[in-house]
Amino acid sequence: MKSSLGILYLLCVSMVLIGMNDFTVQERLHLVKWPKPTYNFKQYPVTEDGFQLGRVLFYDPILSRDSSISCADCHLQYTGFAHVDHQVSHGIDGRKGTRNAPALVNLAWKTSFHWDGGVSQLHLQFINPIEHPSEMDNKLTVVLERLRNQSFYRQRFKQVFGNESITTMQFLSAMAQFVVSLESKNSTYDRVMRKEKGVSFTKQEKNGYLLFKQHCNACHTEPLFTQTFFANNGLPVDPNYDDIGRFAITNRSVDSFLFMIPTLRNIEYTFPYMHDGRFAKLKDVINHYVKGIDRSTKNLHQKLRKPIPLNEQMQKDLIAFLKTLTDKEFLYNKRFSFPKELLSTRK
Amino acid sequence: MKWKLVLIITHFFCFLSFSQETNELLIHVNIGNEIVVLNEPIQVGDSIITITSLKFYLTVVDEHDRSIVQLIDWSEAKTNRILCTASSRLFLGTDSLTNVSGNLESDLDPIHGMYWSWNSGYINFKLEGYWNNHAQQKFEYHIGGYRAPFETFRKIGLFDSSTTELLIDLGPLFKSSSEKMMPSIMTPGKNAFLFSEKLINSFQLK
Ligand code: HEC
Ligand code: HEC
Repeated sequence: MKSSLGILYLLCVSMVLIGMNDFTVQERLHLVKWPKPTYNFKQYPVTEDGFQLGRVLFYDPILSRDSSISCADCHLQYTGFAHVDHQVSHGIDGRKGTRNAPALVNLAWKTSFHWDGGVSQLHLQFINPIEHPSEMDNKLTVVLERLRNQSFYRQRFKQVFGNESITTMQFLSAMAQFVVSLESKNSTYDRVMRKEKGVSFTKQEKNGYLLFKQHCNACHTEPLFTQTFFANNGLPVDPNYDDIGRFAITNRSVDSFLFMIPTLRNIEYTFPYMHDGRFAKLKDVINHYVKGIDRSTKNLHQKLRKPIPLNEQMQKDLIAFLKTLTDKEFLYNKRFSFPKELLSTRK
Repeated sequence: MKWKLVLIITHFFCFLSFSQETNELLIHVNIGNEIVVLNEPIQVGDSIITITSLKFYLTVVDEHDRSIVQLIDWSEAKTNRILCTASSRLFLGTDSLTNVSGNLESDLDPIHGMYWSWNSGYINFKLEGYWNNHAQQKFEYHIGGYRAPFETFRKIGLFDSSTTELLIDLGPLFKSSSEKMMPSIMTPGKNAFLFSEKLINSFQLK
């Protein structure tokens, strides 16, 4: 009897102590917990050799028709593996696509890929940039043939897969081993949530966090800052592209003008923003949510039907919070950067 | 003694399943009475049709619900036949499981040009060519899609021991083509669905 009273007392004290931090216990527990990855690591395991092979392929322009661009040209590490400078991505011969290259991060938690969710598994995605006329404009058969002709790659594939046949599946699964390993979870936000010593939000960041929870978290849900569903966030349709989004995949009218909900991790660096890269700055994005939402859109998400009243100070606070999602360790991690052996080992 | 009996019994069952009669099914593609040869013009009514590419998937599902997918490419003579066991079912295309499995081996390898990379899934039936000897009067049908309600995977029929041929007559397809049929269908959706509905009537087991 006495001991249970003691436990109750301890519980109360710790609740009060935690409460002093402005967050409820429930919120904390919910926040610190990372969900299980949805990627099937059993079926597509990651090994160190496989990861390294995938990394070399990711940085090798041999994948493009005229060997001019690599995956990394559109997915740059220092910008969270997104494409900067350009609203819509530029590929071979400077040809323009119609969409902005999204950040490649924490993809092991995604259940579909592309702005319209048209790609159902990670390894299936890579065929797309390789064969897309305004991206690498190549053919899968040509790529495989080129790799087979390099003793460097024959050796590497043998090391990873036990033979030198370099099949489509071997090629795609090697790439996937690298791409699925691009994990970011060491931002200021993460450190605060893990209660690491000496790390805390400033008052402004904390204000921003509360605003974020209120207005943004329904779609950009912590801790991954994304969701598996698709949404219309009220962007007026750009008649130059006339991108119907998810409808193109499902042919259902409830899906027209719905797009994937991009993660906000490293958002400070993954500009320009939205599927067509229409906004250059975070300020423009917030401005959209406060003043620019097109409420006549049929499929506008209900969370955005009412105005989001944020004064200037609140907008700044929100941006200050978004910047706590920057993970410098990830952006400068040498493990993910250009592999020097690519230059030295190959002719 | 007991294990010997077990061995004999299992062998017996193995024998039964192997002794299943397998038929070789020959595939013929015609337009009316004319045999389709790629790149050779065929007169259909008052127009001329030249088929430049014809590829499609066939799925054979045996009585134990095991399925085998095979790509038929009309430009390669060796693919104009398939093996099947009696009382299996034959389908045109690939089922939804195959489309989402992510296994891209052998006939399902995207190098065969039957895979949509922007909308993960297989083209079940591909037919390309042109009208009236004008390379510009193109038609292109890439028919596929496994999502409801526009699935394009379709049952052709059931084998029995007397089945020896799969006859495909594309004639009816082109008869309606002259009455304003779309020159191209390249994505899953309603048009592909309607096309596959008509297309399946062209497939007949004999
Ligand atoms: C020319 C620029 C360009 C190149 C080169 C390129 N990509 Fe992309 N990438 C894009 C664009 C644009 C999208 C978004 C496509 C869409 O939504 O339709 C994208 C999307 C992706 C996605 C999906 C991300 C998500 O969250 O849905 C992955 C994964 C990816 N690319 C990996 C790669 C790999 C691996 C390579 C090299 C084989 C590569 N990309 C080459 C521009 C490019
Ligand atoms: C109804 C769901 C929803 C809500 C609520 C929402 N967003 Fe979004 N957000 C989206 C979608 C969908 C996109 C992508 C839209 C597109 O490109 O067409 C997006 C895109 C963004 C982007 C661009 C990301 C990139 O990589 O291009 C930022 C930044 C962003 N949202 C921030 C916010 C902030 C801040 C809030 C709260 C004020 C918020 N969002 C509320 C759904 C939502």
